Parts: sequence; C-alpha cells; structure tokens
Amino acid sequence: MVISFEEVSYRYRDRGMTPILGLDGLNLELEEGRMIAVLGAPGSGKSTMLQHMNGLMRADEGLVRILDFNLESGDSRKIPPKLRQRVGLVFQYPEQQLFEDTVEKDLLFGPLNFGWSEAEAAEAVRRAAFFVGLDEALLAQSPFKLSSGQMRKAAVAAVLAADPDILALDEPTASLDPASREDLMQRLHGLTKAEGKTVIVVTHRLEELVSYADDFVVIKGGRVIFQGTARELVHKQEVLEEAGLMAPSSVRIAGTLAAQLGIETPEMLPDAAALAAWYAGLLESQS
Amino acid sequence: MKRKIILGRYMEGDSWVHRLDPRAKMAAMPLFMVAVFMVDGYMGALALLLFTLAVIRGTGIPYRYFIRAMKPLMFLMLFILVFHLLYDAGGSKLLDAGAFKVYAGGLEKGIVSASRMALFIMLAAVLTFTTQPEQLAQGLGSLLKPLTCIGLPTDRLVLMLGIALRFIPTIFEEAERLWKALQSRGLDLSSRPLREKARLIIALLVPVTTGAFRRAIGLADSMEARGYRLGAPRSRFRAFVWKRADTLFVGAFLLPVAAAALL
Ligand SMILES: Nc1ncnc2c1ncn2[C@@H]1O[C@H](COP(=O)(O)OP(=O)(O)OP(=O)(O)O)[C@@H](O)[C@H]1O
Ligand SMILES: [Mg+2]
Repeated sequence: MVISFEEVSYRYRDRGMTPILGLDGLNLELEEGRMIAVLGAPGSGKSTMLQHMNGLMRADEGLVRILDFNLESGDSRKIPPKLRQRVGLVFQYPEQQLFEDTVEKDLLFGPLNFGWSEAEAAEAVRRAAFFVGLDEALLAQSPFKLSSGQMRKAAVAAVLAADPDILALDEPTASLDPASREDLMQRLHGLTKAEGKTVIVVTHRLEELVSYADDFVVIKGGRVIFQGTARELVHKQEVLEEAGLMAPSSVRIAGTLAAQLGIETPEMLPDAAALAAWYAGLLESQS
Repeated sequence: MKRKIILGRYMEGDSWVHRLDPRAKMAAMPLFMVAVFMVDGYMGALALLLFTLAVIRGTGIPYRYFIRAMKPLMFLMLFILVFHLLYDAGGSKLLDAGAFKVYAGGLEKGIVSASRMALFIMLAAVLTFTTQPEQLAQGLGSLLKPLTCIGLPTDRLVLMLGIALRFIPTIFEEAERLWKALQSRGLDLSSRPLREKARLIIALLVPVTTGAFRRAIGLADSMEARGYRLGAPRSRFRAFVWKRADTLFVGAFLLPVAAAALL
C-alpha cells in the first residue's frame, strides 16, 4: 500500500462562519506502481484529497499514510522535505504555480530546494522538459508569456524534475490539445510501467484514461463512492451520473446498437477498438 | 499567511442586520462616528459599548469574529492607552513609581480613546460582515448619486470600488495558492538566508500582480462585450427597498448622538 486514507475529514474554515466540508470520512487505498484516475463532480473534494497527499493540508480527523510517512490528525509537526520530494503535486491552475522569471529557473526550483547539485538539477530539468514535450527554446522565456497549454506542460515538468515516486496531477489535461493530451497520458502511463512510479490523475474526461488507468476512484461529497476498473465503472450508470460523467461514447453506441438489434449489451472494454471488434464479430456472424 | 485579515470580509447569514438596506447601514456609520467622538467619559463609552454589542448580537455572528477583526489594531490601541497614561496629568494621582506617575484623568482619557477606536472597528466590522461587497459599492453609489450634478464621476468611483472590493480577497487567495504550490515543491523559508528570502517574496509578488492585472483586463473586456458602458442607464438586478426596519435602524443611531449631546 503506497497511499492510504483512513476516515479522513477536512473542513475549510476561512470563508464565512460555517465550515465547508472538504473531505468527509474518506477511505482510500492505492497500490504502488499503478495509474489511478480520480473522478467526481466539481466540488466533490478531488483537489482537497490531492493536497493531503504531501502534507500541504492536514486532516482534521483520521489518518493519512503515504509511503512510509504517517500523517495523523492533530499532529502539527513539520512535514519532512523528503515527503515533498517523493510526492509531487501538479496543481489545478498552472498559472498559480509558476513564478520565476524564466521557465528554466522555475523548473530548477524544486530540485535545488531538495538539495541537488546544479549539474544534477540542470540535467533533471532538461529531461523533464523533454518528457512533457516542452520546446527547449521556451526554457529561456518568461513563464507568463507561454500559452496556457505550454504553461501546463511547464507546470508538469517543474514537478517531474524533482523525480517524485508518486505523482499526483490535478486536471493536467484541461488546457491541452487532444494530441498533447493523449501523448501526456501515454507518457505518464509509461512512468508507471517502466519506473514503477505511482501516478494519480484527476480528470473530468473518463475517456482519456480508459485505456491507461488501472484503477478508477469516484468521489462524491468528500467520500469515495466507487473504486474499481474501467470495465466495471462504465456500466454503473448511477455512479457515472452522481459523478457528473457520461459513459464513453463507445459504450453508448454499443448500447444503442444492441437495443436496435434486440440483443444484450456486451460487456467490453470501453474504447473504440473494442467496439469495432464487437461490431465486426456481429457482422461476421450474420453473414 | 495562515491567519488572515478578517475585517472587510463578508460573512454569510440571514439576520435582520444582513437584511437591512445597505444604505441604512452606511448612513448609520457617520452618526455613530459623531457619537463616538462626543463621548468623553467611562459612562458614555460603556453605554456605546452596550449599544454596539446589541447590534453585534443582532448580526448572529459570534463575538470572537469581532475581536479577531480588532487584532491587527490591538497594538495601536495599546499605544494610545500608554501614551495617555504617560503624558496626561489630570485628576487625582493613582500611582507614583518614581518617574512613572498615573493620574485618574490620564487613565480615563486613555481608556476612552482606545475604546473609541475599538467601537469604530466593531461597527465597521458589522457593516462589512453583513453586507456583500457589490451591495456595499452599489449602496455607496446611490448615496453619492446627488454629487453627479457637481461633476463628481460617481459611477466610475463606484465601479472602481466595487471591483477593488471584489478582487482584494481573490488576490489574497491567489497568493496563498501560489505559496502552497511552492511549499509543495520543497520551499522552506526558515532555512534560507535573509537576502534569498527577500528575493523569493518579491518573486512571489510578480505572478500575483500580473495575474490580478490580467484578470482585471479580462474582466473589463468581458463587461464591455456584455454591453456594459459607463454612464449608460442600467437597470438593477436587486433594487434597494427602504423598509421601516431601515428607518428604525438609522433612528436608533440618533439615540446615542442625542444622549451624548444632552449629557
Ligand atoms: N479555499 C477554500 N475555501 C473554502 N472552501 C473551499 C476551498 N477550496 C475548496 N472548498 C470547498 O471544498 C469542497 C471541495 O472542493 P475541491 O476543490 O476539493 O473540489 P474538486 O473536486 O477539486 O472540484 P473541481 O472539479 O471543481 O476542481 C467544495 O465544496 C469547495 O467549495
Ligand atoms: Mg479541483
């Protein structure tokens, strides 16, 4: 178990008088070396949960275990820097993460904080920029001159540069074009397979993770209401609805076709290839 | 970064003070100020304090929020008190410790001056805690309306005020988010030399201010795109309705003024 949340509650207290519930007795266990998708309607607590993963937010109640660190509620000891290095967090709004006057300095910020030598840090930055597909010419530019897609890539690279074991990304594909989106997901998936890292991705698009994520977690009202595979999730209509999600189009098409042909909706992997294979099979059996 | 400034925030609620016309609450402020400045003794200060506590009770917001609102100015109040104790030699001598003498008159003046400030902050907090920023700006606009005829650009002032009130908390929140993101990447200020600390804090200001500017420009464009023009006639979404409670509220603030004038 690389991450575990036990009955974790968190309330936001700074806006007005009545505390706003962020997490409500959340339970979660995640395995090492997997890619995990976190889904849920806006305001369900996804970002709040992510920020508990490297001690930025401390639980009001419950226990958070990350790697070999235990973060108990009520414990106000300083978070060890090692935890921050091993768990990288890419925030939801990249423009609120970058701050230096060049992209390169921004990418260097993490590695230098964690005490790497300049040569090591520079090498890590170059690798991270290449990994996310950030043009090297942009490294000398001000981060505030980048387009929002480029900013997003820079924000991901800035976290990856510190070589975390767990990488948690909050809606990393929000401002990316479809090609970069697919590319990023593929590369993140590669990290889990080749380097055994654990990657957690918050998203509102079920489809972009269907073929990559091993595990799907659906959150509602600060609690986990579903954890399982894509195959299980796409057929749970009520869970999808509660999370404000739609079944992938392949599943919907299969459903409509099956209804028209008067046969049962097939259980299949929710992607275009599986749909095509099923349909081809149907055509063949009819001719 | 953790403990935030609370004065100037809006606290959701549904008390009768929340429901008052913002113009009534604003009109009460200068009246209250007059009363506060007319007070010059323990009895008067105590009476005003009770009056203010009654209004605070009406807001349904716990007293501790009002105390927190005073925190940033606590030091100044203490300073005022000490100043009077040291330099005001009126009335009977209460304490004589060599160079340090405390007179009853000094003590009274000190306490009354410090409580003037406290009273005023508490009432200002009542206004901002119970009135949404947009309503505050809009209410001010309609109070200032008559001044347009002497050439004061009231719309413009009100728009500016409204946007500023709306943006200040967002800017704080933005700074806080950025701060969190940096901590997440291993920022630890305590271990850094002073020069490096100063450089980081200045570096932090850059994205926050550019972000605010960018947002303000975006806002101006989007307002224009949606047909907003300064000075053009415009219907209000929530027109103010002056009710009897409003008249009573403002009337109630005449009481302390009258009492202070008569006593
Ligand atoms: N800074 C804050 N102050 C007060 N309440 C907050 C704050 N941040 C979040 N909340 C509240 O906490 C709850 C969970 O918010 P959170 O940001 O974790 O949702 P989310 O699932 O990430 O949503 P989204 O998909 O919109 O990013 C919401 O009800 C939200 O209003
Ligand atoms: Mg979020």
